[in-house]
Amino acid sequence: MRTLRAWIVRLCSLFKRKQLDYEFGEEIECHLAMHIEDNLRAGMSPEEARRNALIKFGGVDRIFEEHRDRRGFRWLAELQRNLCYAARILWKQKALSLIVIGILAFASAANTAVFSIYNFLFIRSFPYPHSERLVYVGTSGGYGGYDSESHHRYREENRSFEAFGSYNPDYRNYSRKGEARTTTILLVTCDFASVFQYQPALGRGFLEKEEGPGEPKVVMLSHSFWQREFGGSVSALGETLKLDGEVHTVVGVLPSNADFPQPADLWVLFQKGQGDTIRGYGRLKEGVSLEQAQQDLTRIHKSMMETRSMNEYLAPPRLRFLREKLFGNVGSTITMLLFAVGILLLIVCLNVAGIMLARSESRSQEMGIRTALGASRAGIIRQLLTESLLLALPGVLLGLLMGQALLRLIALKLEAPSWVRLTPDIPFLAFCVVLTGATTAFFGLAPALQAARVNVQHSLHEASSRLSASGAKRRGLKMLVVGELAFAVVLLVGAGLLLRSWQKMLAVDPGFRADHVFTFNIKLPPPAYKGIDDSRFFERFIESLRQLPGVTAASGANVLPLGGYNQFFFDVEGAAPHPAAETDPAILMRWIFPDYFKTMGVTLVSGRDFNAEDGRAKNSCVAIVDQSFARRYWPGADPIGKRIRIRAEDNLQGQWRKEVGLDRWMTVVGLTRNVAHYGLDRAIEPGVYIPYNKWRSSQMYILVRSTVDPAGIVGPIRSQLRKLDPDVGILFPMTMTEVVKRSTLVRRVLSIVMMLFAVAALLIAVAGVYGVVNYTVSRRTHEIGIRMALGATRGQILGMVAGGGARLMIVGAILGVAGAFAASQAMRNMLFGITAFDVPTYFIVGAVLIGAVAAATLLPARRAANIEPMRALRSE
Amino acid sequence: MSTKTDVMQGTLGLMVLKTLETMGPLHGYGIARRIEQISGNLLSVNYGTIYPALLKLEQEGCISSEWGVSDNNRKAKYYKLTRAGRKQLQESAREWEQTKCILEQFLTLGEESS
Repeated sequence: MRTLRAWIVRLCSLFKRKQLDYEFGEEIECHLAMHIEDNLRAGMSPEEARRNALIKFGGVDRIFEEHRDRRGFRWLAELQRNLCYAARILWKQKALSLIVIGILAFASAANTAVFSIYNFLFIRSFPYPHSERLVYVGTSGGYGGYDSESHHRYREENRSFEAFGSYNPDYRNYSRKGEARTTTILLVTCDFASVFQYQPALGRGFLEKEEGPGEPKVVMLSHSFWQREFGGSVSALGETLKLDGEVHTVVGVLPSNADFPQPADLWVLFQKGQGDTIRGYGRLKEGVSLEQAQQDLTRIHKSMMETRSMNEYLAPPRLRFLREKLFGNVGSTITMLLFAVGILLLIVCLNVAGIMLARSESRSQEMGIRTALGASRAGIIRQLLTESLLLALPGVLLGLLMGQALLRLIALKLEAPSWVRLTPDIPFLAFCVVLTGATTAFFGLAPALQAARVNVQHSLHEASSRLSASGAKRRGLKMLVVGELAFAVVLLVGAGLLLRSWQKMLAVDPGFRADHVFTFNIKLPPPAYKGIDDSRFFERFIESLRQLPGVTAASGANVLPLGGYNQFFFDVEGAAPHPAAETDPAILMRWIFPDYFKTMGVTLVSGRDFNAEDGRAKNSCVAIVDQSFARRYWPGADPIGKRIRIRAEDNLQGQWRKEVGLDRWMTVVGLTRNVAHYGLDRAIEPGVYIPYNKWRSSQMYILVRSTVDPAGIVGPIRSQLRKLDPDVGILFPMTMTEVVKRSTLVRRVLSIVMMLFAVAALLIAVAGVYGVVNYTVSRRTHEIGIRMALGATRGQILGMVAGGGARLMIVGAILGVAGAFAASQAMRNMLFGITAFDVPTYFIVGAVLIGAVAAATLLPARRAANIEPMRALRSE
Repeated sequence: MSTKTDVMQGTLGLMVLKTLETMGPLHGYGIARRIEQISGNLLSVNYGTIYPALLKLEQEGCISSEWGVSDNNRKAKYYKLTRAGRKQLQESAREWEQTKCILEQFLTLGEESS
């Protein structure tokens, strides 16, 4: 306790040094005066009295020093001294210091930004109470969900959850003030908000009794919808909205942070017995593990399925923690980026180390004097490390600000929801501190150690230092540059491989012609259009679109290429025997309107397209298959006339299958080219097309191929739709080109970002090469002068200097390629269409490297070749 | 040599506290003089060393200081025992007493056995 108090007092005393010094001086003066007086009284002569007092006191200066040490902290005082000195030194070389701070800031910006993302994805908790216990409940099938009964059984009978709610994102046609629009909604059960502990911003949440079938329908408004549509007015409560023609009453407004699991304009209460497929979120009770909860729900699921018929069967539940559900598949990408920025930082550090080393050369005399005057080695190292810290700190700080600004820009651009938190937090700040410390140590320590190893004699003899001491330093510099080049090669190869993969992906023939196709989605409200009427509506709408000027073809489908899954298992008549090792493929099934192939630009290889009569009659069963399907089941044979049938699979809704006649064999009438449905960089899987009216769907993608600009066609399309039904709006208006572009977005962004890093790394490394060659030339001016005087030609000198640069490059490239081999193995599953040993990539990287290093070497080499021998000799 | 000064460092503080207890508020010079007198000139320390010791005690809150005027009308800094200092003095005195007893027993024991 007393020690602590003393520390605090000492710390405070740092801020009033002058005053305390003055006071203590006064105190000593008083002391001496009193002593002298006493001595005089004892009969000493004035001179002796004074002498005696001083002797008795002991050295005044020594006591003063001891007093000062005792008063504050010696190391703090030293640190302060070092900082002042370092600041003066760095200020003297402003340009160099700024360059160092600049490149450090650049590398730190990249590092802090990527770490922020990593932190958000894998370390930081979500902004909900006990978010570490939040669990997603889906089905083992992956994308599936469960039904209303399951929800209620799970909710009532589970022993694992504190809170459990279910939801399903959906769309509703919403009309207000005459304009029909489609709004995004979240269908939720009454307890969904309690899982995330969302408190209504206004009004109340849903009540359990409102879930009863036949109860009046109720909605909650999202905060932004409330602001937008009701101007944030309290009078919104109790208002009614017409959604898909049904009246819903507004009971409350959600808080602005209620955008998880996904943003939606409205929350609509899911009533008991509603047919939608839902998924759930739950918050585990304290101490309950994921496995226990999994077993718990599996038990409920099992007891429920025992009483159900086969065609009401649902896949068993599968629980996942939030983080895994959301980011389970981005781990390798972000780890790669983290490595990339780490390497970039290493290169920057090596470069700065080089600069520091070269600078310490010019200061060897200073170090010599310091050592001669009694500075300890540790003292000199401390001093130099302080200088490094003074460069690293502003560098990292500036980088931090730049990185944060960049992230804010990205988040704004991508309209990131509120739970995406990239702002600094404790782990992030810890990372920055470690980053600063590590960079300081990394680029500061080697030169500091090197400088502290001064030979006093040598360094004081300026001329001799020029010749001898620089040898070791030049080697050190070269090693640093080789390291920079090697790491730059690793990054270049990595970026090159990704870029080539992207290129390969763009070159993939998607199997359809994306140009001039405009698409959008329509969701029909269920009550107004029952059953087959949906198809009638779409038929009439598509027909009306065909009449629009500029439209060459129009059609519709339930799934767009590159978008979504709709898979079934098939029985195939006369199929080739099933290879035992291979699993039965799930086959993509698309319900299409006539003219689909013409509109989408998919080539019909043989047979015919569907016509309006196909599928209308109950027993008319036809299908079109793609080449992948034909090759899989009937290799070498003509598929036309063969028969296929949807297999009676557990999770298939048996009722409608029978009703629409899909339990029968379907005759293949056409064969089409393959479409890269799952992504341009994914394997092609077999697919089947079925006439649209075999499927009761209230939701369809409409496709329009036109000769005019899509922007010009949206207006007429909307007015056609309004003519048919004023309450229906359009959803996701997009061109197919955009659809394709969006599917390549991740690869594009990733390869561009990596390329930026790699180019930056190359520039920094090349600057390093330039620096070291230039340095060598200036150090060897004298020697070159002698060589030329002895008859060396300019060409020979040029060759000698350039050869030095080339040697650095060759060693760096060899090490870099070895590193790249290892690194590219790790990113193998991110490549497409090429192997990790893609020869063109390595060739291009090599060419770029040679070009860049040559440019960096030739400038100083030319300078060396132009040295006037006489002047060079005289300059020494 | 160094052990001697270490012991001195520790005891000097105690001596200062004791001096202040018996004499009341006193300036540095007075304290140094007093300690020298009491120790019968056996302990000849530089007067200056009293000041770092005083600073340490003050930082620890055992004493407080104030500028005042001396008997012969001279400005001087006076040190005064605080309550914490009084407690510290009692504690240290007790500890010393104990140490003294133990050492005494030890030394007499050595005499008997020999």
